[in-house]
Amino acid sequence: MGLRGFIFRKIVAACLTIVAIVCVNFAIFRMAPGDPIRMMFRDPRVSAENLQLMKEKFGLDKPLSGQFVAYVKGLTRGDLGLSFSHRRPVLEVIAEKIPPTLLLVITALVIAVFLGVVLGALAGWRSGTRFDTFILTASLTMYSIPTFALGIIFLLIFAYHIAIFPLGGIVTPASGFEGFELVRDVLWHMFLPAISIVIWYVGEYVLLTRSSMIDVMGQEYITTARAKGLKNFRILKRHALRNALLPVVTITGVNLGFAVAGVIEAETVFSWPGVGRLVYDAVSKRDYPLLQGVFLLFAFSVVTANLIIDLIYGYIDPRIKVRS
Amino acid sequence: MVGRKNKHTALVVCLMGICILVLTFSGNVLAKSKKARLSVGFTTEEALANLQTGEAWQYTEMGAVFWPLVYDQLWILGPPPNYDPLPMLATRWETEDFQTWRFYLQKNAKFHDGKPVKAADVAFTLWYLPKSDPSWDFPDNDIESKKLIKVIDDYTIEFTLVNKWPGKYPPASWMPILPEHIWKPHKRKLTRFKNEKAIGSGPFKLKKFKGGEYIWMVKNEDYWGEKPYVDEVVFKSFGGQDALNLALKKGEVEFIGYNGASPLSVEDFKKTKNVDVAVSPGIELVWIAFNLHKKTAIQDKVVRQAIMYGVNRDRIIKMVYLGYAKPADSFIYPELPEHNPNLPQYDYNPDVAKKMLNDAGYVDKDGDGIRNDPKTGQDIVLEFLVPSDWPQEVKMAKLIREQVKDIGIEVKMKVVDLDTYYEFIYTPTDDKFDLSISAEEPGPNGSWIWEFVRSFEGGGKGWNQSYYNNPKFDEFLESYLTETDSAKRKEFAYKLQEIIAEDLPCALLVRPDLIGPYRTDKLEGHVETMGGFSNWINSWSYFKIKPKE
Repeated sequence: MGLRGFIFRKIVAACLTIVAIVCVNFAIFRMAPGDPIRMMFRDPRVSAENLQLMKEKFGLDKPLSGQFVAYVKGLTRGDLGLSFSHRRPVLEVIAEKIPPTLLLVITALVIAVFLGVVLGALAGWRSGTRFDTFILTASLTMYSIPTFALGIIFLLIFAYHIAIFPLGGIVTPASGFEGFELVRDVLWHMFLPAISIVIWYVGEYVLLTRSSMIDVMGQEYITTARAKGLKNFRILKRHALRNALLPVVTITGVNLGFAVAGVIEAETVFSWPGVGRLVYDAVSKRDYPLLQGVFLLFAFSVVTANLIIDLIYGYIDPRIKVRS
Repeated sequence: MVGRKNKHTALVVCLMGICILVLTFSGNVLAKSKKARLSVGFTTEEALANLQTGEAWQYTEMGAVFWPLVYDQLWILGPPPNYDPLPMLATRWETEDFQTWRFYLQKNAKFHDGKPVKAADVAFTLWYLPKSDPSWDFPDNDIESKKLIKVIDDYTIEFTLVNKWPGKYPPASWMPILPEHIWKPHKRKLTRFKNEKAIGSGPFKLKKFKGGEYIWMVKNEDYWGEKPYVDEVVFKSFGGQDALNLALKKGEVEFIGYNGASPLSVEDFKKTKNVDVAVSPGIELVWIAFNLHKKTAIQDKVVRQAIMYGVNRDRIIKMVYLGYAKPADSFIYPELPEHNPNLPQYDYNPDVAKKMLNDAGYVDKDGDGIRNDPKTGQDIVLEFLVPSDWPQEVKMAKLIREQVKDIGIEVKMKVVDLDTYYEFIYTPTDDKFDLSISAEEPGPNGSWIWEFVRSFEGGGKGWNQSYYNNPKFDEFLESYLTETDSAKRKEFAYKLQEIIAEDLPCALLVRPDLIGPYRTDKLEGHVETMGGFSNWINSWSYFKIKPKE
C-alpha cells in the first residue's frame, strides 16, 4: 500500500463523508415542521394554483425519493436550488458572500497564528515564569470570551464612545469609493471584526503552542541540543518550535475549513456581509434551500481541509507512514 | 547576522502595522460628503434582499418604505390630521357610480429613463401586478377583465371595479406605477423580474443597491412635482437593534426606518446630545385571535368575553410597553371619524369573568384550580400561539397566561418562528392553536382589515384567522364597503365594530406607540403620522426633510 494506499483511503473516506452529509443535509430540512412553500407566502390569499406552481418550481411536488434524485442531480450540475428569500440561485448568493468571509477570516487567522505561535512558544519556553503565567491567564481569558460579547464591547468603546471605527458593514454605505480609497475603507471596516476574531484565535493558538512546547521541551533531543552548547534561540527555533508546531498545523487546517463557514457571531455583530451573516439571515427567514447549500459548503470545506491536512501529515510525519 | 535580520523583520512588521492603523483610523474622514444626505437605519432582518416586486415590497420594512420613493402612485395618502387622498401621478379623479373610475394623469411625468408616464403604464400595472402576486390584490384594484381597463388617451384612464368603492379614498391605493416598456416581457410573472435598475417615476432615483446592506437613492432632478429637499437618501442596515441605536446616537443615521426603538431605550436617547424622541400614536394594532374552528371552550362567546375581563390591559401596557401604548377596542383608530366610541371596553374585572364562567357552567369540578368544560368535562387548557420574533408579544402572552390563570383557565404557550406562525394562524382549520397574538397595520384607509373577519363562505379569501362565520356580519360588511352615503356608511362601520366587540372572534388589546428617536443637529422638517416618521403610509418625511439653516 504505502503512501499511495494511504492517500487513496483518505480520499475514499472523505468522499463517503460527503455522501453521508449530502443525505443528512437533504433529510434534516424535510423533517422540520411546516410546509416550506406555504411559508414563502406571508399573504394567505395565495391561490392553490400558485402554491402548486411554486411546489413544481422548487421540485417539492415530487415524492421524497424523486426529490432526492433531483437534489443529487442538481448537485452534480452545481445547482443548489433557488433561495426562498433572495429568489436567486443559492450558489450565486453564496458565491458573492465567500470573498468577504475569506478576507476577514484569513486575515484574522494569519495574525492570530503569528501572534499565537510566538507568544505560545515563548510562554512554553519560559514555562513557570511570570511571563508564562501572564500569557496563560491572558490566553485563557481571551479564549473564553464569546466573540459576540467582545464584538459588542468593541462596538461600544471604539465605534461609539471613542468613535474611531464604523459600527458595521464592509464599506461605508453609499460612499462611491473606488481603488485605494475603497481598500482603505474596507480595512477601516475590517479592523474591529478582525481583532475580535484574532483575540479568540490567539487564545487558542497560544494555549496549543504552549502545551505542545512544554511537551517538546521535555524530549531528549532538546537536552542533547543543550548539551551540544547550542544557543537558546537556535534550540527554540530549530528544534523545539518545529516539532511543537505539528498540532498547530492541524488546528490551522481545521480552522481554515471553518473559515468558509465564516464566523457567524462576528459577522452578525459587525454586519459583515459574509457567509456567517448569510447563515444567520437564512435561519431567521427559514430559507431552506439556502441553509442546505450553506451547510453543504461548510461540510465540504471542513472535509476538504481535513483531507489536505491528513495528506500533508502523511507527507511530513513519518510516523503516519509507518502506521499506514 | 541572524539577529540583525530578525530586527529588520520586526521593524517591517511594526511599520506595516502602523501604516494599517493610520490608514484605518483616517478612514472615517473619507466618509464626509457635502451633499445633503438623509441616512435611515434598519436592522438586517428588515432589509430588502433584492429589488423584485412582490411580498418584499409589502411585508419587509425596508421594502415598504423604499418603493414609494422611487415609484409614483396614482394618489397618495396625505399627512395627518385628515389623512386626505392627495393627487400624485393623477391630477384628479372622478366617478359617478363608485364602480367605474376615471383618472387624469400628469402630462409632464417621466420615468427615470426619460420615457413619459402614460395611461398605458397605469393600465399595465393595474392588470398585471395584482395578478402576479396576491399581496397586491385588494378590493380597490379588483378588476374582472382586462377589457374593463380603458386607456381613453395617453393621459386618461378609466377602469371598472368588481364592486363599488365608495368612501373617502379613491381606488388603486398604494400601488407603484410600473413602466410598461420595461416590465412587459415579464408580464406573466412580474415578481420574477430582477428589476436591477428600479426605473420608476418617483422623486428619488436608485443609484446603488446592495442586497441586505444598503440602498442609495439620489434626488430625481427631473421630477415633475415638488422635488425633495435632500440630495440623497440612504437606507443602511445594521446587524441588530443595539448597533442601530448606536448608529443613531453617533449620527450615522437620522432616524430608525420603520419600527422605531424599544421603550427601554427612551431615557437613554433623551439623554443623548442632538437626539430627540418623538412618541407617535402607533399604526399597529395588536389583538388576540380566537380559533373558532377548534372544538374547545373558546367556541363559547362567554368564555371569550370572560377571558377579556380577565386580561389586565393596563398592566400589560405598563409592564410590556413601559406605558408607551394605548388600549385598543376596534380595527378603526379612535381619531378617525368612523370609530365607534360606544364599544364594550372589557375593563379588567376578574370577578365579573369568574361569575360569567360560573353562570355558564364552567366550574372547577376536580379541584385542580382549572375550570372544566361542562360539555366534555375536560380542564380548559388552551394553546396560545405567539411568534418568537415578536419579543414584546411573547411577554404579553406570558402576562395573559398568568392573568387568566386567576380566573381558572390554563394557557400553554406555543412559541414558534414567524413563518410557522403565519402558516398556523392562516389555517385555523388545521387546529394548531386555540388563541393567538395577531397584529396588523390597517392605516387610515383600512377598510381591508375587515377581511380578517369575513367568513370563508362569505367570500373571505384566507385572512380570517379566527374562522369566524357570521353571515349577518358579512352582510353588514358588504353594505359598509358599497354604501355611497357617508352617514350611512358610518352607521355600518359602527355596526361592524359592535358585532366584533360583542362576538369577539378577535379581541383588540393594545395600540403600541411608535418611539421614534431622531437627530436634531443637521436636518429638519420631519413629518409625523401615526406610526412615526417613516412607514408604509408616510413617505412625507423623505419628501419634506431639509438641511437645517
